[in-house]
Amino acid sequence: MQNEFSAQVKTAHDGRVTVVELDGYLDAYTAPEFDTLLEQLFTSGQVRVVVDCGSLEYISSAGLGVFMGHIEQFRSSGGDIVLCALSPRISAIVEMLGFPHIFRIFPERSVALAVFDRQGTTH
Amino acid sequence: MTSIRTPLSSTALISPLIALAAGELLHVALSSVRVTFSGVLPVWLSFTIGVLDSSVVAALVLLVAWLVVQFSRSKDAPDVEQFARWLRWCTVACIAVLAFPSFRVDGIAWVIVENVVVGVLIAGSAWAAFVLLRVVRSYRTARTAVVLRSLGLVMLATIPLRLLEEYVAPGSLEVVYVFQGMVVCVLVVLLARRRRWLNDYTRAHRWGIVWWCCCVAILSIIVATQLFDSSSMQSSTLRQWLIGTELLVGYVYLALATYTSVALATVVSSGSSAARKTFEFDAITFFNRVVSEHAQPQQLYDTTVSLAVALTDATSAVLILHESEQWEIVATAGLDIQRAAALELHAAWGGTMPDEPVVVPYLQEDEHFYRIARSVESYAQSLMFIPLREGSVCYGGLVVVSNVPFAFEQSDVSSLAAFAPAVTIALANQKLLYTAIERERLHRELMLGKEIQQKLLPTAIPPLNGWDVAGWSEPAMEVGGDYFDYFVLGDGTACVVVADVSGKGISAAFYMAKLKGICLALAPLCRSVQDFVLRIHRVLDGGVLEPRVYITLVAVGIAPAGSIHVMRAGHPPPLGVTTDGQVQVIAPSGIALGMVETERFAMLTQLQILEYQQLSTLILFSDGLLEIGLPHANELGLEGIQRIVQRVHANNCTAEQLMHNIRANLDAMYGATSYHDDMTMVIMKRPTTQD
Repeated sequence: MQNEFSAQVKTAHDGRVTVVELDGYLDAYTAPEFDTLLEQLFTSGQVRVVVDCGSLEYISSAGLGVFMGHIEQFRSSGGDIVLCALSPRISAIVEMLGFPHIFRIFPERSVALAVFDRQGTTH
Repeated sequence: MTSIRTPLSSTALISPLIALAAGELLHVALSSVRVTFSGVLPVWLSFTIGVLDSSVVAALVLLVAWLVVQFSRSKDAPDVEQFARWLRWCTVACIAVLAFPSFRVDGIAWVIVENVVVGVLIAGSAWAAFVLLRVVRSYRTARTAVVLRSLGLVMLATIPLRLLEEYVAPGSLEVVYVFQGMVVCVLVVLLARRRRWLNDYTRAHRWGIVWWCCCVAILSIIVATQLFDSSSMQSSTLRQWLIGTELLVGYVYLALATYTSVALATVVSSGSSAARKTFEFDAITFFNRVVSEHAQPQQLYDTTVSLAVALTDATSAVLILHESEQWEIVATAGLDIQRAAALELHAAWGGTMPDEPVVVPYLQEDEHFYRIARSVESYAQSLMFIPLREGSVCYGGLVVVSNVPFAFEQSDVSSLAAFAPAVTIALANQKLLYTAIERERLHRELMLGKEIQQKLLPTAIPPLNGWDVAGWSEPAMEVGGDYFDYFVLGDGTACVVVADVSGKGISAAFYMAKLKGICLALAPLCRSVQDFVLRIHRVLDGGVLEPRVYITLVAVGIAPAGSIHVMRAGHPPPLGVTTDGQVQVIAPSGIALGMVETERFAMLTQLQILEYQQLSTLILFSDGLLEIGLPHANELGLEGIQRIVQRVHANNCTAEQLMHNIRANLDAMYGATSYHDDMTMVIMKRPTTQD
């Protein structure tokens, strides 16, 4: 069953940071789309990425696997993938997995963007 | 006439006549000036006019010859009906004038009439030469071409013989006449064989052509017999030479042979058209019968090429299927696949299959094929292509090949085009059928995979250090990434594991199988649950998992001494039911397997030791259970499971009974048919005797 999913790419901080707004269901069916998007961002050198999950309704293990598959790549290029605005449900899922040990997760986008201002890409 | 593209318009065909008429008028004018003013003009001027007269006529005759050669190279059928209409009445008038001597008038008027007659005749001979060249050209490489050339040489050789007979030994070479007559008969038969383009004309037009051909033949005979004796004719030097050397006799034979053969072919083609239509109908009917008998693909392909050859009188045919930008030759008739590939159709058309039928009359002269023409000359000199399309979908193309040039006419295109839709529909049906079969095969393989995966899970779990254990797993698809099992560790601890590979389907199932192998290998070596989980992680961290794949796992160990050890690697926390019926969440901290290096994993993943006396039941499950209800309703969640367990739990029921009760509740709430994710549940129940 194909669920609705979209990922909007925006830039912030004069183009130094890329914001990806996720919307809908990020599951096994839609994960390849997001995977391709992250690959494109990496290829084009946009390695400072804030993923806004404010409109994300559901994320499956396949969707979380996309983050796992790219994080080292982005960090080794001096960037990072930062998550923000997770709903309580999604927050519970990522916490259960132990994601906060790997990813920086913030309640609001502005705070997530400030991370890149403050300390660049240090994790 | 069927719609046919013809660059050979009636104006083009009539151009030799116009050129000759102009030449004749000029000749008459110049001759008249020379004759009328013969005593007045200076010698040099009279001589110049004479030279000019001969030169003009010679130049015009050369022009006519050039036009004839050019027209004979035309790729399409000539607009013969229009041409016939132009010449028809001229020819009839000429016959009338020559057949009735009483019409004759003296002086310059008769000279003009004679010149007009000869002009018409020479235009007719141009037409005859055009037809002859066209037909000979179509025989270029065949054995018949040799015969035609030989006959031409023999005819030429008879001219000096006839001159000898005329001037040296009259009446002694009558055998030459007989021989020439025989040659004409052979010519008629050979030429009549190559008149396929006549099929493009309607019956009325064909009979018009026959009528005109007969007129020209009669005119030829009259001219040959009458103009020999004509002394009044004010002939040009060239025409005098023509008549004087008996070339006119050769011309009469040529005209007779050509026009008789055209007339014969026209009559024959009327009958052959009907026979051809009948054959087309029979071929399509036969093909449909083969298709309806559920022919195998190869049988269908072979039938297609065989019928294509028969329909077009080609020497061979090739069927090409087009899929995913690839061209594949699937069947040939009359040539092998290597020879078919040597035609290099893919390269010739730049990898794009033509949308419309294509006729290549002569490979050597085609811009796409001239490079390979020499190498395939022995079996392919002309070809025709018909695309097999249904709407915007291109299934492939049918190519018929002939070992002679100019083998295909418009009628062949029509025949093959009529056959193509039946082939296209058959190919489309075949494709649908095989897609369905392939889908069924894949489904069977997946069901086999499901069966094998189910066998990787324990069917019945024996009591583990006194605990009663029951397990259940149901993949969302045919196969999944959920896993549960039990092991006895090296220190005697009975360990129950529930794990979930990220993602779904076949890739998750392969990792699940790998995990089982790793657990089986490591279990006897481990001295505790913690050791077991850390060792599993170390193996997985060594490149077993792809970067985007991780595994959540919960392991519960019951030590021989009775203590309960729990390790949770990013997995949903198990529930514990206390002896007084309270449902608790057992959530030691931890991170999923494969996310970080082993040292960090060891630091982040904590062991929790539970008090044996306080627990009566442990319930382990995968996240699929938490997400029941998605995507259309609210998910069950951890609280939902807690509520169900609270409701159905009883101290005196077995693990299997508790499992049954929980599943019955879930089915009642959400329905049993569609699960969003793989679901797994393991229930461990302390024996009641130990309460």
